[in-house]
Amino acid sequence: MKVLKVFFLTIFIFSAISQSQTITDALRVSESGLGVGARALGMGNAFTGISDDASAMYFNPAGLGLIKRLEVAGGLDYFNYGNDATLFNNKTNYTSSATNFNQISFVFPFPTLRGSMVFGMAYNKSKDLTSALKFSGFNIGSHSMIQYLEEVKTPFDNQSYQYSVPYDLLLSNDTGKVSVINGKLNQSGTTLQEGGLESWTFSGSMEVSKNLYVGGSLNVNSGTFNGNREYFEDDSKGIYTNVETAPGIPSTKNFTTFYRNDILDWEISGWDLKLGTIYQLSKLARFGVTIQLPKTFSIKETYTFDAYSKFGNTVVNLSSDLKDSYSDKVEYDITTPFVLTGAASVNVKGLILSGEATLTDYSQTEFSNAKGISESYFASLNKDMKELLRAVAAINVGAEYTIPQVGVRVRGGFISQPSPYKGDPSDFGKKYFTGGIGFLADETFAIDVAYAHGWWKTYGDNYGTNLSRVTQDISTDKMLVTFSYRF
Amino acid sequence: MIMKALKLLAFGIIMFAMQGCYTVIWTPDVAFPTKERSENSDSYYDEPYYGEYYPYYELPWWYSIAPPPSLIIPASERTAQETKLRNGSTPDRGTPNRPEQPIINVGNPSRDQTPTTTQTTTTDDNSSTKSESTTPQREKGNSSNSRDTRNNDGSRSSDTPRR
Repeated sequence: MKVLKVFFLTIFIFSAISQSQTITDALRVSESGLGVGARALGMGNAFTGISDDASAMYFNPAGLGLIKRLEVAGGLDYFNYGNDATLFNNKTNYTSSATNFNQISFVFPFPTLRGSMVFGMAYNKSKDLTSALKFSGFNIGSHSMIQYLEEVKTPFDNQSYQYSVPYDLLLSNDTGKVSVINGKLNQSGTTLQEGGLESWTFSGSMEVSKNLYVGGSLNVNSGTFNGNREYFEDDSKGIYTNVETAPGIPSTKNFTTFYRNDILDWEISGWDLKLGTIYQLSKLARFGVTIQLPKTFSIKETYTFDAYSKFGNTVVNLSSDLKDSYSDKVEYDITTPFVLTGAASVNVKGLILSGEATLTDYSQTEFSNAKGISESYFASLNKDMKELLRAVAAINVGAEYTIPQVGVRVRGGFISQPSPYKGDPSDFGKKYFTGGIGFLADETFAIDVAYAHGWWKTYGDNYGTNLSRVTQDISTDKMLVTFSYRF
Repeated sequence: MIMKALKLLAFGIIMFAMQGCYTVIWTPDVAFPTKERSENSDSYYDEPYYGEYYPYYELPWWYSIAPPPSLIIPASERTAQETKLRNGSTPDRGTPNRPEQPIINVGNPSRDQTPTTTQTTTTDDNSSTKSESTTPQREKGNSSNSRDTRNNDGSRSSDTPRR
């Protein structure tokens, strides 16, 4: 019985202090990124109905069958994430950027007497997880992170409120109750996230009837994610200068700062399959359909927690044992929903207009295979996702015009990805304007450059619900260069 | 799991290939595909509107290389040879019990020289020798096989939990 109590006590403590998995974690791998290939991005990623270069392995593997020459392609991208965050009417701007290989691919069309059979393999960096957030604001309310952490109570055997971070940092009384601190603190923080999702892709496509192609891509996925959050609560107005935050301990007068640091590391692996078909209607149009089967990402998560409190010049740190007890390593799977895409492109005298719609039912996203986490927590989280998330249709449109005399193509496009949360207004959906230009040299060497500017709103709560809410105006800029050589 | 998926993918592709779907893949025992010998799907990038992008997208890479030497043996002759081998008959020339090999004279593979393939095969009754000289049709003018082919130059949000 005692063992059971200790077990539940541990769960109770960790469930509040440890970085519990959230819907944000699921969406991190469920929502699509900006893909690969500068030609596609320049056209707003409305490429499922075109897909006649190496990026077909990402957008529509059936399109590989349209490639008639050996192709080697590679790309490099630059991504910048800007965040105007507002906390209690105080605005703070912060940016972070990353430069990565976007794509390395090889396409091999078999010689055919009729029809087409093409294989390809690629390394694709499909999503950049870089983000940044910085906020600061004075909270006049009578609540704080310190008090929120006090809720990590241990009610067994009337043991009071010990075994909590405020108790360990001398911010509570002997029973663990935060009895002195009552809000009115300046709250600030910084979050930097980096990493990305990448895949090794093996694709094949075949013309099964005149102008009708089917194809598939097997993606062996991997990736990393690192999130580093620093959070401060400062007694900027000297409200607690003359009181002992741990009554009876004189050294706890002159409280100035509470600090916590949460570091989340993911190792991501998994695989998935994408099937597609494309039909070319003479020289006039192409129609494409793809089905992205659910992706299963296996996450190995390492969570590291640290905290301290400061009284004048005296710092109270967590002991290494306590740091270890608040940190943990867990494993679990995230399964993303089916993704269905329908697309069409029209070709009129050098002008290609392309559009597509992608249906994703985010409420079908699931956590599973918990190791080191209670299954009931995942059941509850999955229920929350069913209730809070929704099916959305993303829209991509694009155009490309070729100037044949000089071998130059110019492009433009627009992407709309509605927010997966039920009830979110339209400005919480991600929107991108894209543009690009392409050059061809010696009929073999193509260079394509694309730029995408995105913007949307979102928010996050430091603790509780709408007690310390950071609203965020996000803007992103992405530059992508793709080189391809056709033999 | 990955291996299982790979096998499924390979199985699907092989099934497509084996069921005699539209696509016919070139194999070494048939003539190398050229523009004349291939049946092409519709192009999408017409030259007047796409200029240099037309060959970039529309001309298969194998049109611009010299065809590799191949054993083009009419099916009837092949059957006859196989019958002869099965019967253990003595070939006209060469080592006894060794099947006669076709003699192949191949011109220097070159992009500006059309290779000529001469085949000498012996017919079933051993009474006559049949020589056959074939010159694959090459493309002229703008065709991709000709020398002047243009190709020859070449979250929500931050980390803060939402709820």
